[in-house]
Amino acid sequence: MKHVVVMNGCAGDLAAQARDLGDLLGRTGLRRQDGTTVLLHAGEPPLPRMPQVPTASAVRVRVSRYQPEQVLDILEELAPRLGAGLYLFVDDLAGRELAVRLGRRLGGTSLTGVRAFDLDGETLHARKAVYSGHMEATFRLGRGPFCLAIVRAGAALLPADDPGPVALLDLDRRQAPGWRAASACPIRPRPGWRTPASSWPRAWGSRTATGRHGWPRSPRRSARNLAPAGRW
Amino acid sequence: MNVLVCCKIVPDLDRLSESDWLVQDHGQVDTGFVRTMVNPYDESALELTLRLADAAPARMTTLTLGGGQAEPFLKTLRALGFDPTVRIEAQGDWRFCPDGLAALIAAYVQAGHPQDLVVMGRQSADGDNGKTPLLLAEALGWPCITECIGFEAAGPGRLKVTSRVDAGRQIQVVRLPLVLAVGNAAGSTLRVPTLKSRMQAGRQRTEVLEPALGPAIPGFRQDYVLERLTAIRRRRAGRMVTGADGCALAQALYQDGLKQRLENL
Repeated sequence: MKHVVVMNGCAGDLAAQARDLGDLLGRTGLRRQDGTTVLLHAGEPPLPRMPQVPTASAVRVRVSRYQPEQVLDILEELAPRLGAGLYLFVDDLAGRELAVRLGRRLGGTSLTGVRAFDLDGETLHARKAVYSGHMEATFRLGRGPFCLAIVRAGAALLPADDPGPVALLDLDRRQAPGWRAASACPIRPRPGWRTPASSWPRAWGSRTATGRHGWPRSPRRSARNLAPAGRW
Repeated sequence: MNVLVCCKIVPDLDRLSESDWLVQDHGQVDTGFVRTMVNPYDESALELTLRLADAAPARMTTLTLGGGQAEPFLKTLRALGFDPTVRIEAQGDWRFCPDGLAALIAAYVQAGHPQDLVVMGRQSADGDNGKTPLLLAEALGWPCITECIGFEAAGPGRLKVTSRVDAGRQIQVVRLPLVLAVGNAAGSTLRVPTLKSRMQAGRQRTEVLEPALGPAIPGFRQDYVLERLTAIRRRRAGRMVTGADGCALAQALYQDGLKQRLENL
C-alpha cells in the first residue's frame, strides 16, 4: 500500500520522529519504496541537507511557522498527487490534530494513540490504549485513506548508511496566509530547555521573545513591536 | 459572547481495582457500579469558561449526552451560572463514537443555537479518543486550538488563548468563532457553588432533547468499530543482573541496560 509519512520539522525532534516511524514501518512490512515523506520545516535559512527519512521519496515543504490549518491545506492539496492509502503521523500534539482533521477532510478514517496496526486487504486493524491506559482495544477501520497517529516507542536510530530519499520535491509555502490568528507571539520554550538560543539568562523579562527564533530581544524593543499589534 | 461548554459524565476509573477490569460478553468493561464524575478535562473547560465569564459578559450553555445520572452534575452547573443546561437523551454506547458526538454537537449548534465559542476537554477518560473537538471544528468549518490551558477576552470578537504546543507554550489572539480543546490546565478545579445558588438552581429544569441516533444526525459516519478489548498487563519484564561485586554489577547494568538507550538519546 502506498503510504505517506508526515514529519513535523517545526517540532525540533526530526531524528526521533524518523526513527520511530521507520521502526514501525519495518515492523508492519510496508515497503520503503512505496512511501513518501512529507517534511514540514520552518527553518531560516532552509535546511542545509535532507535529514534521514524512512521512505524512498520525500516532499519538503517550507512554511513560515507551524499552523495546523495551513499544513492541512497543503496535505489536502498534495493528496491526489501522492495517492496514498495510509498517512502516518507521530502521536504528539501536532500529529494527533493533523491525523484526525486530515482523515475527515480526505473522507477517510483516523485513529490516534495507535500502538500497532495490521493491514488486511483494504481493511486496517489498529490497537490502541483506552480506559485511561487500563485496556487495549483493537479497532477495525473500514474506509481509507487511513490517518494514524503512532505512539512513539523509542526505536533505534536509522542506520548510518541510510541512502536517504531518492526523489525530492521542494515546496515553499511561507507566503500562505494564516487565516486563523489575528496575531500570535513566538512560542515560548518550556523553562529549563537547553537549546542554544535559550541558554542565555532569562532575566531579560518573562515576556521577552527568546527561544528557538534567535537571540533574546530587549524587553523594550519587544514591547515596542508587540504593543501596536495589540498582542499583549 | 455565547459560549457552549460540552461535558461528559464518566466513571471514576481510579476506583476500579485490577480484578474489576473484566471484559463482559458484550465486549465492554462494566463500570456501572463505580461513582461518576465530570470528565477531568471537561471540568477544566467549565472552570476556565467561568473565569472568562467573570471578566466579561458571556452566556454560558452546557451540553451533555446521556441519561438521568447526569442530572446532579447539571444542577451544580446551573448553580454556577450555566444557563441553559442541555442534555441529549441518547441511548447506546457512545464511548468509542467521537464522530457521532461531534455530529450531534454540530447539529445542536447549527439548529438555532448559534455560538461564538465551543469549549470542551481534549478527551474523555473512558474512550481516550481525543477526536471530538477536532471533528467538531471540521464539521463546523471553524478553527480549533488544542491543548488549551487558558483563555480570556481580548476585545470584541477576539480571544487570547494560551495553549501548549510541542515546542513549548503559545499565546494567540484569535478571531471567533472557535473550538477550544482544553488540556492539562493547572489549577482549574471546578469551583463549588453556594448553597443559596444551588437551591435556586433546583427550581430550574434541564432542557432535554430527543434522542438522535445514527443516520438521523447530519454528517454522522462511524468508520471504525471496536473488535476486541484486552487488559493491559501492568507487570514489567524484569531481568536479574548478576555479578561478583558492586563494580561488576554496575558494569553489567550499564552494558545490558543503559548503553544502548543512552546512544539512542
